[in-house]
Amino acid sequence: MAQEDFTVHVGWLVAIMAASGALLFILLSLRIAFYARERRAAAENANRTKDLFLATLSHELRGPLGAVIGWTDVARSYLDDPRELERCLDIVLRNAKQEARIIDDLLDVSSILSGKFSVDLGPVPLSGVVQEGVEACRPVADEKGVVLRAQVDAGLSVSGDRKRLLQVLHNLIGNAIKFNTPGGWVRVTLERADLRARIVVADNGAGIGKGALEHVFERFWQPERKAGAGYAGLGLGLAIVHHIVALHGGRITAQSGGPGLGAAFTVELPLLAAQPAASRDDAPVAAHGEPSLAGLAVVAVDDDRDTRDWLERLLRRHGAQIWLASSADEAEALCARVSPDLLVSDIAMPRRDGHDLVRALRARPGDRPFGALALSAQASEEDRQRALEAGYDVFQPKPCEGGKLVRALQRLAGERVATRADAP
Amino acid sequence: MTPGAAKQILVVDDRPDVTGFMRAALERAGYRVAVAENGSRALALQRAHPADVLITDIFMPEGDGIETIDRVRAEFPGTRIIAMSGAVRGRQDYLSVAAQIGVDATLHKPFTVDELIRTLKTVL
Repeated sequence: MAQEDFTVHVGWLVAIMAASGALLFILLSLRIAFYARERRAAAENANRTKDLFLATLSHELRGPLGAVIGWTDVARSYLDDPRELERCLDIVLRNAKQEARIIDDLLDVSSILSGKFSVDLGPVPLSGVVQEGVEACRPVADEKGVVLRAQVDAGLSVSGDRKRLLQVLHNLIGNAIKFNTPGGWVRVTLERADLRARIVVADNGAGIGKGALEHVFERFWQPERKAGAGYAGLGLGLAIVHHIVALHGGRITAQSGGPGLGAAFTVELPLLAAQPAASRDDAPVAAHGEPSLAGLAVVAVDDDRDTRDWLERLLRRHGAQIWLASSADEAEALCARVSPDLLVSDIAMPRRDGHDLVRALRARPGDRPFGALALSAQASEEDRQRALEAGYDVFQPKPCEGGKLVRALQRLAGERVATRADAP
Repeated sequence: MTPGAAKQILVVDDRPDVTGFMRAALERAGYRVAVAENGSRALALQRAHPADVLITDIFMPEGDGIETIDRVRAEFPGTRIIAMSGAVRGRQDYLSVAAQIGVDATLHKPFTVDELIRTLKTVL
């Protein structure tokens, strides 16, 4: 090779190496810069989150206290007006209780963080606990106009801390109601899934965005909001719930179709022992050990499909023959065809209600007498009276535990049998 | 406005139990009171019937406390503005933010009826 060519080649080689080196250097610098910026952004974010948390904490703690101080002050002007005075006291009490709950949550988180949070494990009748949790939330749901329904399989027990499990339910159901609007619904189900008990709290409320879904159980985490915006709450509840479920050897997951599309929270807990679907404790077994509603023909009426599904599963499991109707008209036609032993009916149904149905059925000449149980979500004393006057034998408030309903129907059927036996 | 007529106050807070006692106390003290639970509702009320004084929280869930103050100041120069808050920011509180954007007075939460009326009188 000629000397000049060699120099040119070497020259090119050096140039390329230099360029590559420079490029590499530039790329490396950029990488470091971005990394540092990410770290800085994360630190700023953490700082912002802490700032926001402190702002929210102080705002939330002082909120109910403001109402307590304000209304106590105002109450002084109403010393001669007992009704207004009582109203002031109600408001003060409500806010003081709210303050107490905030403090409870903060203390729970504090003890979780310091490793002192504990659960007392013992056998817990989960079915009963879920019902209790639902009923505890019913007043809030009613006041907001949110429909709260429960479908609870009977006889499921877990090893757990009853108080903490109630706390979980109260939090999940409370959230479902809180992030909902009047006319919306919340559905709580408890069922067996292999060796686990599965609780689902579903709603058609505000829903959770995809970005938020993976953070929803983090302590103090709040969804993205405008700068300066306050939050409804401290973001502690779900973190506490997550911790409690973990301490029970369970698992909790959240699902949502997205904002405005509702959400579902699923809690799975290991069952205490392998149990038959119809537990000994909750559903009575007839004298010879056969299913307690054996041989009974039942017509069940409810305009709600979920309730019909539940009734069908429940009554069939206990040996009854069941026909379903979604309206009073349908039920009347069925009863004419089937001539049932028992009628289980909702009261509040569109167009024709349960009162009308039972009155019409009782008025039919020549029909075989049947036992009628009203199963209704409207359960005041007045509602009970109205149902009994219309012709129902038994009034059962909804939601009700499966075993309780079966026992009531069994008693009703027994009375009917006795009556028929006595009749000439 | 006719001299001696009762002053109109617009109170904005997302907590009904807070606006409730404020309304009771202010009406008892002879003021006319309108109440809103968020900024957009407040603006609608203000535009329909401008208040003499706007009292608003600045750390509400919809994040529109400060924005409301801005708008009212721009559109209604005759309306006095009082910012209220219990939210803490670093060593100060959110009210220092409000002071920066220009309000006529601030109210630290929680406050008594006395403090409310006294602060109101300082801006009227």
